[in-house]
Amino acid sequence: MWYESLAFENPKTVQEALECLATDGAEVIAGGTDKLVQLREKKKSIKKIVNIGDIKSLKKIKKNGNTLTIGACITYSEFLELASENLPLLTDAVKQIASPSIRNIATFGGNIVNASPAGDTLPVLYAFDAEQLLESLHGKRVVKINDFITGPGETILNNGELLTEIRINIPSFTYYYRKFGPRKALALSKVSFCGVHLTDSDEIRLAYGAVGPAVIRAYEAEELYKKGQKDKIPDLIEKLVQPINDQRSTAEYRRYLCVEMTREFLKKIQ
Amino acid sequence: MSVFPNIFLIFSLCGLSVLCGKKSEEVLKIIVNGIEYLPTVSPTMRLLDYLRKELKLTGTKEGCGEGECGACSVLIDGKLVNSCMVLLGQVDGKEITTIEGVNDSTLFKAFEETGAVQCGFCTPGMIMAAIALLRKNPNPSVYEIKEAISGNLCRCTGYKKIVEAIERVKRK
Repeated sequence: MWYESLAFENPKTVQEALECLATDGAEVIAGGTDKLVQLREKKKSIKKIVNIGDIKSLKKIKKNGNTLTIGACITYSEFLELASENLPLLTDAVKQIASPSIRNIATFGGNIVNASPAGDTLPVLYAFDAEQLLESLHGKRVVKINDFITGPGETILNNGELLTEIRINIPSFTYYYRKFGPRKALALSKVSFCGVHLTDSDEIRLAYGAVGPAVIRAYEAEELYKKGQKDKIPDLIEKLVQPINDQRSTAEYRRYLCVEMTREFLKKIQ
Repeated sequence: MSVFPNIFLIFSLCGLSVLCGKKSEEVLKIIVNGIEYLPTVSPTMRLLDYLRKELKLTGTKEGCGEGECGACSVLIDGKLVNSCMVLLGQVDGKEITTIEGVNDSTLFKAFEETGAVQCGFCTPGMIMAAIALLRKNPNPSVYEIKEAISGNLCRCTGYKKIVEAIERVKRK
C-alpha cells in the first residue's frame, strides 16, 4: 500500500497526540476499519498517521448519575463487555454493527468522526443529543452531535482537534430500534430508525439513519407529539426524510420503511 | 572562515532530523505465534502484508482487503481481528496468533470429517473465528456459532457444514 512510506506516531497520552496533530498532514487512526479502506485511495496531503488507539485515557467508560461518558477509543466489543446494561438501546444498535472481528477494533469515536449517513451508533446518539468533547492544543469545546456532523463524511472538527469523549444524558425511557440491511452481518444500513419515549415528560425523540446527508432528527414531529397531534406524524415523516436511490436501496422503499417504523413505534408507546 | 559554522550547522541539522524522526523509527516489537519479532519494515505496513511477505506465514489470506470477508482473520491478544485493517504500528507490543500457530486437531478433524473445507480459502479465517468463540464460550449454541462466523464469507460449501464442524467440537 502507498501509505507504507508515511511516518507513524504512537502517542500514549492525549497531550502527546495533540502535539502530533498540530503539524500539517497528520491523519488520525483509532480502530482503522473505515480509515484504512478510505486510505486505499492515495491522499497526497497526508504525511503521517497518528494512532490514538493506545491512549489509555480514551478507553474509559464512566457512569455518573444519569450521564454515560464513553471514551472515543472504546471499541464496540469493549462497550458490550463493560457497559451493555447502561443503555440497552445503544447495546441493541452496537450488537448489529458489522461483524465480531470489526466490533473488536472499531471505535465509537471513529463512527462519529467518519460521519457516514449510515453510521450505526448515530441515530441513538442523535436521539439523546449526545455531546462530543473536542480537544486541541488551544483548548476544549463541547459540541452536540447534531452540530458536529454537517454532511456525509463532514464534521466541524478543525485541524489539530481530537474527539476524546462522548457524553450521553440518559433520562428514563422506552425505545424502539430497527436496522434494515440485506443481511444481518456486515451490511450497511438501508435505513435505521430509533424512537425513544421519555416516560417522565411524555416526550418522544425520532432519529432516522441513512435517509439523508446526515442522521435526521424529526424535531417537528416531536413537537406534534407534544401538542397531542400524533396522527399527523407519519405524513410529516414522509416529507421530512430525504432518502436517495443507491446500490443499497431505493428512495421509495426507504421512505416507506421510515413511515411504517414510525407508526409501529407510536403504536408501541400508546 | 565560514567553514566551521557551516559544518556545525550541518551536524546540528542532522541531529535535529534524527530526533524528529525518532518516534516513527522506534523499534517495534510483536509476538507472532509465541515468537518475538522486531520488524524493521514501516509501521504503516498492514499486519497482513507483514505476516505474508516478511514472515512468509501465508496461511492468512487476503480476500477483499476491506473487512468484508474475514479470510485474513487473526487473533490479536486473543481477539478476532481482520489483519487487512490493522497497521503494524497498531499492534506494537501485542501478541498475534495466526492459523500457523493453531494446533487444535479436534477442530481440524471436525472440519475434515464434516466436509467443511472445499477450496479452503476461507478455512484459516473460519478456524480463527471458531477458536475465538470456543475460547470464550466452550459450549456455544448454533445461533452463537453463526454469529461468531458472521464476518467470514465462504463461497463454496455454504455455512451448514462449517457450523456442523464447530458444533461437533463443542459436544466433545
